[in-house]
Amino acid sequence: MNTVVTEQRRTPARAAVPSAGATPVPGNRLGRLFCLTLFTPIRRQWAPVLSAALWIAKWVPFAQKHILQFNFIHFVRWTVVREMPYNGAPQVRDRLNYPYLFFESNFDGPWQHYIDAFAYVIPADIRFVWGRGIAFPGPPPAEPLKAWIAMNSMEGGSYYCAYPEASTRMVASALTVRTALDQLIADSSGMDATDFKARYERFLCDVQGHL
Amino acid sequence: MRDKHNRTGTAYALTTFTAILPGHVDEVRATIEGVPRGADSPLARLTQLHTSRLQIFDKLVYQGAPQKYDELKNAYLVFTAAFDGDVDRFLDDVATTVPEADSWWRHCVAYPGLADHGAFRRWIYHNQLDTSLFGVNSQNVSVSQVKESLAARERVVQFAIAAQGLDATSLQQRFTETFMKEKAGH
Amino acid sequence: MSDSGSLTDLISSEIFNGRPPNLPRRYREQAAVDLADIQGNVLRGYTHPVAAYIFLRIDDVPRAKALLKRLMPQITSGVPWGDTAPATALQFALTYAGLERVGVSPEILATFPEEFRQGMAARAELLGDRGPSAPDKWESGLGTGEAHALLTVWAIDEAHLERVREELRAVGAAAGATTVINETRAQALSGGRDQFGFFDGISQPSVEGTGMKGRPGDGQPNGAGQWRDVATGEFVHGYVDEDGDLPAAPAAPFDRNGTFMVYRKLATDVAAFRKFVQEAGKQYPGGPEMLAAKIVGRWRDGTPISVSPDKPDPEVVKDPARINDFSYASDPQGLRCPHGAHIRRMNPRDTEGFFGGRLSNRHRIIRRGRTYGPPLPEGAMEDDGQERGLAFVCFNASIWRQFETVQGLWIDDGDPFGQGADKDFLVGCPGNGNQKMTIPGNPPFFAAPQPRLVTMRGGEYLYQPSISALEWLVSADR
Repeated sequence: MNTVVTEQRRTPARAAVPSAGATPVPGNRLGRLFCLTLFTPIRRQWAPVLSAALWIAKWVPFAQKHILQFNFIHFVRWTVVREMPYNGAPQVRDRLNYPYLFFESNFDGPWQHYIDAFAYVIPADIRFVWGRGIAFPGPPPAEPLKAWIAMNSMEGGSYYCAYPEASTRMVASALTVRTALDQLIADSSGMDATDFKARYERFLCDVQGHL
Repeated sequence: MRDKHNRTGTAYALTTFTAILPGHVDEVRATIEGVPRGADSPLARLTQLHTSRLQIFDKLVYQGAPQKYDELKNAYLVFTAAFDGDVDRFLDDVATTVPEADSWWRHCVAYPGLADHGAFRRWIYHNQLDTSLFGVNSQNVSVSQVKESLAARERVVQFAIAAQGLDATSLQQRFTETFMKEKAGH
Repeated sequence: MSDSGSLTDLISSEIFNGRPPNLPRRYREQAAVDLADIQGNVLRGYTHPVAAYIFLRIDDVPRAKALLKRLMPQITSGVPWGDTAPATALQFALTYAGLERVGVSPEILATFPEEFRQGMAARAELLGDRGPSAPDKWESGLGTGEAHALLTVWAIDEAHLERVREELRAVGAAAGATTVINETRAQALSGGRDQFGFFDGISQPSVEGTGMKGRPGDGQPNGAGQWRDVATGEFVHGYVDEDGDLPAAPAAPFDRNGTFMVYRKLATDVAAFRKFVQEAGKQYPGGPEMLAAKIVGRWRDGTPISVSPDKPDPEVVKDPARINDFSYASDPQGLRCPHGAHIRRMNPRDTEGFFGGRLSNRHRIIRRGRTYGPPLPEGAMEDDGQERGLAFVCFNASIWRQFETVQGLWIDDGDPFGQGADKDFLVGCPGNGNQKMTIPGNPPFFAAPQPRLVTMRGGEYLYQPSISALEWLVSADR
């Protein structure tokens, strides 16, 4: 016999997370790269703690296992903003009620997929960095976080990359192959054909994960 | 001093928020959205530039209770860049090789123009926000190294496919033709 | 538990319902989802030997509703049949244009996701449907906005299928209710093989709450070396998904027990596949059969190369506990199963970069397609001009997050697997004619240039409503 589900119905994470198939190409997308920019408030007492933690992360390798471990991010920056730069009239001095966290990241593809990595692999780090923001939906789950990001994502404008068709992995692979190729060229001068073939095949084996 | 905050290896992260003159927002928006993309971009002349973003920042998103409503009184033009090498040098290069930059920055408060490099740099530094943490995936690698390596890998792949199954002599000959002559020609 | 061992079962299953003998019935427990309200063929595959995919244009709305009302008793739900399958089973789904046509309100229509509203043809670039696969080359009736509904018909024989088609002609077309604008007749090939000669459809996600026990490897890695079911909400709206909450779904009455359906008619160039494998197989140290297995990820008989990299293993194929039980974490260099192999792309499991399955669990799909067209005779190396292929059908709660991610990011590209711009060698669009696949080994082998083995003939995104939502649609008073 089959039973009708009796589970409590919850409010779904209905906030539409936009898909990434939009045309025309938006201002934060170029080639393979998607640029995500956020500017979100942090609780006043937390700002110095966050600043200190980000500073320490620069020097401590342990950060590499956390927020900097992902090989689908080319460049990423965090900046704690306490006040907006002021240039005199006619600019009005902006006095913000909160310190803010400016975040800019360059992903190899739709950011929605990579937020799953943040939400499921390093949720504690994400909560630490953004979680003292007001009304921040701490991961996991991932969908409310994605909705929050979509709400805060700074859109429009223009995006430049010197190598937009290369992902982070492709760049890393290319560097590895280049180094190995230079070594192969250096090693092979003066070799006879049989030795060269063996050396060439060793080269292929060494870098096959990058070809 | 400035380097300590914004540099990771050979790469530097520049972040600037320059207030836009009242009433000029729409024009700036149209200008930056009209910048040609990819290799046609004026920014492509900056050979040390990895990535860059230009966008308008004109509202603070209200997160919900218990946040106090925060209002942005000015619109800002945000310019971010990740590039190799010295920041003074980068800004001088912008001033000399990217005159188009004038078309977007001249709508900003206190912009001194590009002619006086010192004044331009000072204005940029005044509006710079120091980075708290800058992560770089492939560290200490310049733009030209990236591009050359991508091209080299492509040549290796094409060679590996074509050379599949060749006997040792033909393989070596072909390899020499493809890779050694080029090296010798440097 | 499994009843695939007895000879009687083998004979009866082959004759009576087209179920391949090496696909045993699943053990059933009590279901926790409303199977009576979910249309059939989503949570359990049908094994009727004959099928047809009939796309309809609605010419007169009230008459079309009357036709649908007439067909309702034959639209099956997910309730298991026990020992007697009905001679005919129908499924009914609508495109966005179709929902609009039948008068669903703008407020409700606005709650359907963007990719569904745009339709598959508009998303061709993302999906890799280029060149000969581009929408301007598609069969008539598909991708033009003309298709309003898809009636999928399952039948035990041609005669029963013909009866349904007759009804469509008599009641549908004759009354001016609907017009058939595209139709594909599907026929299961013997042994559950696909047109390339590979045993297909082995791996399907085991779904929570369906009352069907999954085999090892069907679900997601559970982090402790075992497997767990995939959350129901990944495939049916109104149930908790892998993120722990209800998935985004359209507004009532489409918020529950419905799902999105993807239909793609994929023509396969079997001769080109055979020729490539034979030619390149001369250079490949393992020979043509192994080359083919490396491209697919399984040997022709279904043995996963992750389990048995050197040769097919009938013992593994016969054993439901082994045929799908493998992980990729222990094969980081792809020496057993290449990173770019077809099945590794379609279902990455715990492959490197997916954090033990944490980045693959939200991109699973349920595949329910059928082959169409006669098989290319054994040994034939030249195309005979006959149309043959796969009517690819899958179900998912989110087209963009699930199907489009697999097709657009994992088939039409290789970067998530460290394969750069290499596409799926078996089904991907070869593009500039210069594509390759790296087959790791000592030394590695490069399969190139990638031939065009699959051409898209047309497709649609559809919404398959619950039984109660269908009843709501046909009722006059709303």
